[in-house]
Order: sequence, then structure tokens, then C-alpha cells
Amino acid sequence: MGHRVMLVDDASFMRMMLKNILVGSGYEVIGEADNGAKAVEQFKLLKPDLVIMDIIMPEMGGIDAVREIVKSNPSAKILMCSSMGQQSLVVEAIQAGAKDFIVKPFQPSNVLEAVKKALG
Amino acid sequence: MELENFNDFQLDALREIGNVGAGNAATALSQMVGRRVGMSVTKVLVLPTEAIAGFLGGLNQNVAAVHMPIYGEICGIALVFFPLERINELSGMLIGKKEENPLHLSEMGESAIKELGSILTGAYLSALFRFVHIQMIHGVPGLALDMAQAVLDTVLVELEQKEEIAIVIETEFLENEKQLTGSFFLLPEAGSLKKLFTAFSKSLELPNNG
Repeated sequence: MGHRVMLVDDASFMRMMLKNILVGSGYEVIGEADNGAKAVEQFKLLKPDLVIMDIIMPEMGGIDAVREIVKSNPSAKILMCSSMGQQSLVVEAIQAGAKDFIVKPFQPSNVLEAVKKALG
Repeated sequence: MELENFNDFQLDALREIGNVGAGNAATALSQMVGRRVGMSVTKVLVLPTEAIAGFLGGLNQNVAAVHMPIYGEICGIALVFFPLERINELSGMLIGKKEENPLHLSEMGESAIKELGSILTGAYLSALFRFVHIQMIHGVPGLALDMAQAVLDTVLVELEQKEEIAIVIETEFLENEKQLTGSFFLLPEAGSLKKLFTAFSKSLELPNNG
């Protein structure tokens, strides 16, 4: 408990849903970003224990952001969050260094399970 | 590809994809609103693009449309239409707060409706992938609240060389005796439908024992 999480999604609604689930279970949401480029910058500053990252976003998508983050922080823990129908992108994200993925829309229990597993 | 080139087999295949996609969509919607949502596919059809506004109730019909580009083996645009008069109710269900004016949704309400359109599109594209193994990825969604023709004019400009037809899956979602009709439209780029129907044929080919 008390782990510091950063949320990256261009949809403020999705960030709000994730934040409610995480905060309600004792996690701390220390930062939010609405595209991959901002996520890379914020990661350097905030050094979160875990990042939950959307795949399709404007400017820089989630997969490129994972590559950037993992390049400078090989031990970064990143969970991808994707819609149904993006199977090939999920595989690419895992190859880029993401630990696991959550499919949208999600049940709170699925999110918490994946977060717990990723934080090891 | 012309409209009259569609045969019964291809339309049957589309209907089946529509059913599976709507099933995925109902599950997604149930998870988003936190209650069970039933569904039935009311229409699966292929329409000439100029007939889309008529299908939605006329050129001046007010609609809410979530639109997004489609990339991958088939490119184009996906649109999810909801009746505008229900959009504040739908947004209220998602964010837990009623919107006052449907033409000016709050930032959170707008984000929720865009995300809903995006997730429903993913549900239909995922059904398509399951049948024909054609990978299609949807891009960042936009939301338009306007008359049907105005929405179409804006969205179709983005598609330079389109097929002159649209694939339509109309689904009725039923939640706690309330009904909501959502229409999913796929507007493919020129040449894409041929690829799609070739894939349909391949997916149903019998193994060659000869």
C-alpha cells in the first residue's frame, strides 16, 4: 500500500475512473498526463513506482512513451491500458517493456489485481 | 466496390459480426455503467454514403457522433451515433452527474462520451478481427453534437478517397427497461471493402484434403 502511481490517458474520464479505483484502495496518484510526451517528462520528475498508460493518444502514443521511459529507466514498471481490438498493439507494448495490460472498460478488481502483480 | 455487388453470404457474414460485436459492446457498456445492459442488433446493412443522414432520421436530425480514424490493414473512419436528446442522460450515467445542456457537455461528460464511442468501436472491430483476422486500430476519438448532415460533411472531408458505401450496425441497448439506440458506421477508404470481403471468403474456405 502507499505506492505512487502515475496515470497517462488522453481521456480525463478514464483517468478519473482509474484514480477513484486506486485512491480507494490506498494507492497515491502522484501525476497525470494526457499524452506520451508529457508522460516521459513527468516520469523523469516524479519517478513513480508504477505507470498506467493508454496506447492510443495524440502527439506521442503509449508504446513510444514506454520505449522512451524504459530506455532511461530499464526497471520502470508500466501497465498498458487498451480497448478491445488492439491486440497487436498490446504485444508491441509488452515487447517495448510494459509489464502487463488491462482491457478497457475494466472492473476495479481487474485493475487492482494487475497493479498488485506489476508492483510485485 | 458497388452496393449491388454485395451478396447474401457477405451480408450474412456482416450480420454475424454485428451480433458478436454488439455482444462485446453490451458487455463493455455494462462494465462502464456498473449495471447489466442487454442488447439486440436491430439492423445490419450496407448503405450508400448519401443515405446515411436519412437513416439517422433526416439531414436536420440532431445527433451526437463520436468519430475516429481507423488504421491498419483496412483504413477509414468509424462513427458511433447516439440520439442527441439522450446524450445528457448517457453522460450522466457514466460520470454520475446529470448534464444541464446537451449541446454543452461538461469536459468530463464529453470525455466520457468519447471514451464510450471509442470502446464500442473497439468492441465491433474486435468482432471483425475474430472472423476475418484483419487488424484495424481506432485512433483518437472526436465528438460532434450537431445536425446529421453537418456532422457527415465535417467527418467525410477527412476521408479523401472513400468507398461510396457505409457498413452500418444498429444496436438497441436495454438497461433497466430504458432503451438506447446506438448506430455504428464503418466508412472504408477506397479499395478497403474488396480486401474485407476477400478475407470473409478466405475465413470460410474449407480445408483442401485433395
